Amino acid sequence: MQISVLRPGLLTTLQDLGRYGFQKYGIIVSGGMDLYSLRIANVLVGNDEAEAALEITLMGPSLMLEKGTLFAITGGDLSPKIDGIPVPTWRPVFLRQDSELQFGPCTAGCRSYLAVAGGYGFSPVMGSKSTYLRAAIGGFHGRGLEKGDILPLGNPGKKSRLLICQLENKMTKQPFSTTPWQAKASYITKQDRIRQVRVTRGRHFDYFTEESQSRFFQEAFEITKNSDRMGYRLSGPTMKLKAPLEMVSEGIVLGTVQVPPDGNPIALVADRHSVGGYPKIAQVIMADIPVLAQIKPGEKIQLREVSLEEAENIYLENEKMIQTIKTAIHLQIRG
Amino acid sequence: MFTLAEIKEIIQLVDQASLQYFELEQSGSRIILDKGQRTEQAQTGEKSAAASPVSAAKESVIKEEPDKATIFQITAPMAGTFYTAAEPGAEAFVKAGQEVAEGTVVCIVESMKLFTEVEAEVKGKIVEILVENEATVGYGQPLFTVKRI
Repeated sequence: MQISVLRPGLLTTLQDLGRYGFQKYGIIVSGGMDLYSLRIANVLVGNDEAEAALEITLMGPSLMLEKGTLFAITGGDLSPKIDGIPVPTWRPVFLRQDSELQFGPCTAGCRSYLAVAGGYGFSPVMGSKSTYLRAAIGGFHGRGLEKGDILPLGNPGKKSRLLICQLENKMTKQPFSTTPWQAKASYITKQDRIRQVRVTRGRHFDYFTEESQSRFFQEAFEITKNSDRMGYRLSGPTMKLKAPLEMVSEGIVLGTVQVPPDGNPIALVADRHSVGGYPKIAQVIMADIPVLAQIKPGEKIQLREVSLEEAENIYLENEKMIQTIKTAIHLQIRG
Repeated sequence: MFTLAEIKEIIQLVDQASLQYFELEQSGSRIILDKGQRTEQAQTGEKSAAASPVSAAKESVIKEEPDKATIFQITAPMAGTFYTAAEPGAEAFVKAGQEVAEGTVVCIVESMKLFTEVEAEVKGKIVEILVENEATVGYGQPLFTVKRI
């Protein structure tokens, strides 16, 4: 089984949960931007949640998929279609014939994830299949997909095969069959409104002027066009330090919000570097990284402060919810 | 209070269904239709309106065996939360009076964060939506009544 790329889309890369353990050598983590969507996509097709999936950004590709492929699309809504028929998202889809999967306009969110039963047949590099674009390692030859690329698929596991059996026997006139059940993400909607993103105070919050501190939480920030998989650049009230701060570079993590001398904060995401020397004003909580990852450049966010304890509780609740979904899907697969 | 038109419609629907006994209570009003005893009552609160005897014409109808139930119920496939629309604020899948075909999605039931679409199993017209949006429903609980066409 394989997938051939007819049109690559804006930026389509293979990503998993990330390449951990090598930041001390300067190797960045990478991985999916919206790991909630990536994990659920894998669970929906019976894969291990840590399997790699294609991350599709804003303008999706056209892909040729083979008969018998079981896949799931999660994340933002990039209007996927087969033969002009909308393909259901957040649920397993089984192909009854060779089909061209075309992504169209992005109507909600920013990034879509395409998981296939059995995963993508690439060897992990330093323990991960994630694409590290700048170093050109991992994923598909360390780069985004291009026209003519052929992606080999792995062999579906036991859970995937059970699901394939269920969907194979379903009567339908469409080129694909799907389940009556589906998963969802409440943070991805078509409604155009300011998104709330929760943060804890950063290590250097107190070094900023009181005016900056209060405006940071009171005013909205726009995600600028310069945002990418490395950092989300925020434009809004300028953050000013009380006095110039000479800092030694130190470790940064997923969701760190640092402020360079121009006063415009940057929220660091999947392709962040391993160390940074700018003052850290805040830290986006783990549970809200997927929220941030689905916000398009040009949209606005409102930052809200939570305590570390709250952040931990929200994280645990979120993980519990993912476990519940996994259990529910496994129950459905076993029928 | 039921309106006269509603009572008439209920009598007609029950008459055509393969039901022997029918009881409906709604905001203090109660209707009992009992084909076995061939009496019907309409009560409002404590006051009971005089039961009108069933006409002769009706008796003949009762004697006829209804060949096919025209009223069909769509029931919950699992216990969970009932949703009339795909997402909050979105338009409801179906409204009362709307025609549905086999396979038309009429609602969603959420259980363990999985959302299952419920389809109409017959071609017909939605008579009534029996459950409020976001209500908790049990397995097999009637969600819609559909009149077959």
